[in-house]
Amino acid sequence: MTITEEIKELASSNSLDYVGFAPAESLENEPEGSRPSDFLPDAQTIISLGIKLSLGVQFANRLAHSRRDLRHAIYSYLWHGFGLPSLHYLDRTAILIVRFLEKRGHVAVPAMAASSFDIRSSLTEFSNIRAAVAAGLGDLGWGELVLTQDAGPRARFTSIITNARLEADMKPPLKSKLCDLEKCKELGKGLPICASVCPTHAIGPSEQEVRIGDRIFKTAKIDRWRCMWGSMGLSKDSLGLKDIPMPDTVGPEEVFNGMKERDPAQSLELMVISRGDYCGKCIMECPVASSSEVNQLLLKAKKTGRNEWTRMTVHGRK
Amino acid sequence: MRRQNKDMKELTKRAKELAFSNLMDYIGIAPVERFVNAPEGHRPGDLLPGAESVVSMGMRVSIGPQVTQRMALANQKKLRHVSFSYRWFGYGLLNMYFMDRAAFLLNRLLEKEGYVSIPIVSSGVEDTRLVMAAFSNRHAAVAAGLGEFGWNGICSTPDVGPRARFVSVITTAKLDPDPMYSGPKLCDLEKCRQFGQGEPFCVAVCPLDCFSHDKVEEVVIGGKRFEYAWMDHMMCGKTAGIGIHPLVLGPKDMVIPKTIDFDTSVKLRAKTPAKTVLETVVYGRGHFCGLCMLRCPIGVPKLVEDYMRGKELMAL
Repeated sequence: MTITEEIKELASSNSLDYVGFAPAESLENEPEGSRPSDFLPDAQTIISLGIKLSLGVQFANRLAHSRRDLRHAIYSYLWHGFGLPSLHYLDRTAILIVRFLEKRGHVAVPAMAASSFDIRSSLTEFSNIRAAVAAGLGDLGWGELVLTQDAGPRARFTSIITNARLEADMKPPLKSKLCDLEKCKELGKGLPICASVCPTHAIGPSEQEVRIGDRIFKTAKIDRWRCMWGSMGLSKDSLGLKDIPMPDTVGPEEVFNGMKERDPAQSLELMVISRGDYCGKCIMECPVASSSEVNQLLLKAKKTGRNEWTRMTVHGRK
Repeated sequence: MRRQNKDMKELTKRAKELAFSNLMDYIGIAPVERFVNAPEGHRPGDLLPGAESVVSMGMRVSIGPQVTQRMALANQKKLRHVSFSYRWFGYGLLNMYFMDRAAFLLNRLLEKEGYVSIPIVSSGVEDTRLVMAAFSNRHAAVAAGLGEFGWNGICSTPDVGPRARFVSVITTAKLDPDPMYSGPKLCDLEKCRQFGQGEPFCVAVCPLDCFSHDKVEEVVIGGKRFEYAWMDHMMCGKTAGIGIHPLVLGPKDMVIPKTIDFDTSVKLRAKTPAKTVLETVVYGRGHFCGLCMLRCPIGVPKLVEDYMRGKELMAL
């Protein structure tokens, strides 16, 4: 077996769904400090690893967002849809691959799946999303998430930067774009769905061009701090127990102060598992590869529901 | 896509093999009908419309962490630090690294076969105001035939009593169900009262007097009626559980009222000394007590009893 075959085998035997390889130079347009060569001066290859979110945890997220009386359904998503796949599968497999490469005489630097967040720049240490796109695992969607053909944005990723020159796995671009912005705007009544469902208006309206290798993607600019306001559950629309007024301009200080304002029952809720994202609506409601089974379950839950919580989109229907 | 004619016995067998190959000690299947009396919003069908089965998996707490926790609680001044082993190897690690992983893998297996499944977190995420999880893993364990309730409200298995932890997966797969436990009664309340000088042993050894002396919880699972003591989960979980009760390895200068509500628990939490907070900052999970489980006479390991003989008082 070649090294790449062995890495693919290692990934699949550790329950990962995606593995791809990209030349390190494909991410040299990343911001200074976040390029592969900033982490490893002689970086040659990026290995991108991914795992799909199961239909059950997708449903748990959407159920919690659609039924006020079933908010506790989010607990399965917080851990089984975020912390556990990141910590136990992606990070664990990354370290196994790092060890494997080291035994073969190479150096490899693993990035964290759910990365630590640089408070100064609001950037993660290294973009697992862009690495996944560079490795041909999917397209970059409007909401700056990786869209895979079979799961849309419902997957999580991690990356390994290595000085091993591995055969790149650049797949040819898809004939039709996965993120069809015009069609999506029709579903979202003028806005792409990801932007229209975002409870903190973190996606757009300004746009940006992202260059990954030879490809250029047009995406919304994401306000990471507004996104964090939602992911930390600081509004009821993002499953917070209390609506904390969000300032027009959000930065680290505002998020930090907002967190102090949380209902204590909520701040204690995550104390043990520490990780988790209360929102995830842009991921869950994206129409790309949306599961019809999850959508049908939601319709059933809505029919039996007593107490609607927020607007729910099922294949664009509201 | 769902395979209508899938051989459920075969899928059940594969689910069980998966559990055992991932170091689970127990697995049982309960049809959702056994949960008809669960609280609204917390029944399998509330969390997953079309749910057919609940898979319960469990793992024994090994003997070493049982010994260290009992040693630490019996000698808090000198041996408090040996309780670290229990909090991680007897609680957090089993939950986070073994049972949640097994639930995650089972979820994937069932999904590959065309069934939607929701894995429940083994512990650690709950409605902190109600001290209530999304779904009760211990009730699921009883429903799946892995044991029966002891007076302490924990699922006791025939081999280790309550010294096991559980996780559940709710699924639309109609798996081959297991019968409920029908062996000899495990929790012999009258005999236990003799051990406990008039009180069931779990009640007698609870350092915080969390178990009611008169209020009884009654549940009917799969047509079978169970009774166990009402328990003050707020006092147990939000003081001893997080290590702030001076009687259970907590700071000696903390003052805990006899009864607490959620708001009091938040105030107490805010007063937690930095050293206690920092102690668990990395691994997060764990409970500082566990005596109602560790000292329960059902399935108590002789090795542990021999080791601890004469070293601990009944009620600390």
